[in-house]
Amino acid sequence: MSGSPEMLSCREVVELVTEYLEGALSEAEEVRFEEHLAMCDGCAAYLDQMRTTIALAGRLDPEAVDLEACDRLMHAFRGWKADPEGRAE
Amino acid sequence: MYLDTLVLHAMPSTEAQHPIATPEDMRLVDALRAGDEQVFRDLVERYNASLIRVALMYVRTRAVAEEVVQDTWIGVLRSLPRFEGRSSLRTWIFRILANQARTRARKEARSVPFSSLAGGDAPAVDPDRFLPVDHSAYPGHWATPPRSWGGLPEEELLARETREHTLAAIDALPASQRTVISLRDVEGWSSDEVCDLLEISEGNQRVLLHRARSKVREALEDYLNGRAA
Amino acid sequence: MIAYTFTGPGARRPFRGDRWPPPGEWAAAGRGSRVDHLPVWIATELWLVELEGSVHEVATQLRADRGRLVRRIDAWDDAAAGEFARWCGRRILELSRAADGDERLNAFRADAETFAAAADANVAGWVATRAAAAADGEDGAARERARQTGWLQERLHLDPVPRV
Repeated sequence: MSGSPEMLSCREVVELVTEYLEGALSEAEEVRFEEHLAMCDGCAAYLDQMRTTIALAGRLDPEAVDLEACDRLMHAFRGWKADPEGRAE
Repeated sequence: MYLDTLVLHAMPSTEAQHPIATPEDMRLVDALRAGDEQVFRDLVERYNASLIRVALMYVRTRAVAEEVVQDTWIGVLRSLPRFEGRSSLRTWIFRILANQARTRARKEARSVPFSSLAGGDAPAVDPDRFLPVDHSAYPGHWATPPRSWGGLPEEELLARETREHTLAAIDALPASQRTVISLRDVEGWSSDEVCDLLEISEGNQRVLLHRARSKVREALEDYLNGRAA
Repeated sequence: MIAYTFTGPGARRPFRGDRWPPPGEWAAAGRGSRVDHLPVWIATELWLVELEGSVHEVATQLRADRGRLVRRIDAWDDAAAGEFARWCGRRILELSRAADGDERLNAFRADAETFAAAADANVAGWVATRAAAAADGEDGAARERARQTGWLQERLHLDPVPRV
């Protein structure tokens, strides 16, 4: 209940953010979490930043493979293709 | 709004927690079996970086991790006849990697204990950002609250430089944290898939994910604050 | 059942990062509250919402499998929210006069003067509740929330049991 001793502080909220996003909080904890966010711009901004962080991680550019490593792999591929050791026909 | 779309795609997916091979997976496997080098090259470019990050959870140096990943790709090719599509292609590739990495770690007999990779117990946010817990009116509340990034121009958030800072922050993480955020948020794996692959509990996985995301958020906040008007 | 729900601008769902679809269209995870708990959830827009599927109350929130917006309560606008914020500010000053010298109340009183704009409405209500708790314990806090609900009901002509 808002105003009760179980009210969350911002310090506690930032430690619960991952569990909240994972849906791992109990219903009561989730409501307590959201009650806090309703009155706290700072924590609302924090949650928003966290969502953006996750979204950015999901949009990373593909990372270039080391040229030498890539050459070795293509060489190995051609070797495998020539002698696949039991590749079914 | 493009930013809305950006965040929407970060919401948890409702698809199966353990996906089986898609028609696209089977097409790729057939192409590999037929000796299609371009398909192999594309696959390598797609997964190599994440494979190295997972390998680094088991072996100590990047050089060894890269060797393990090379061996993994050879293993993938040699195991192609045995791929039945009961798991997705990427799960199958990463399982081969995990097995190779564990074997190599045992051989090296210097594998890093899991606990030392977890990165300690640092709080998600610098305690200085909050009022003291014995503050009379607002114990534990923000002293310097974060500002919404919604006020930043979208081009800023979507710019290559922002993505590069995100990548740098991920690569600076301790190995286990880096692996979990890589698989969950970069690659989009489900919690169940990650726990299965790494053989860790959901609770452990969540703690690692929490620490990883907290650090990356902080790094991004530092970078974006430096660029805000 | 029909309930009240607050949203961000443009029917943005406050904690989910997405928006309600247009009124009449169902969305998953319906959320709202009874009139008694309105002050806790104050945000930019106020709507009537229809909740369906395992509707149950957890603390101050009504939860259901799905929900859909019914109509917006236009009387809740920036002007009303600003008035509420300033009224809460005056309440804080009254409450802190009643129990002078309490360190907490000094801090609340200082903040009371800053509560002026629509954006302050929710936090002003919360601080007034905390001031009431400092003066009169948790019972005082509950009474203050009831007072706030009364203010909203009167100002916005709200039905205690919302009707479509």
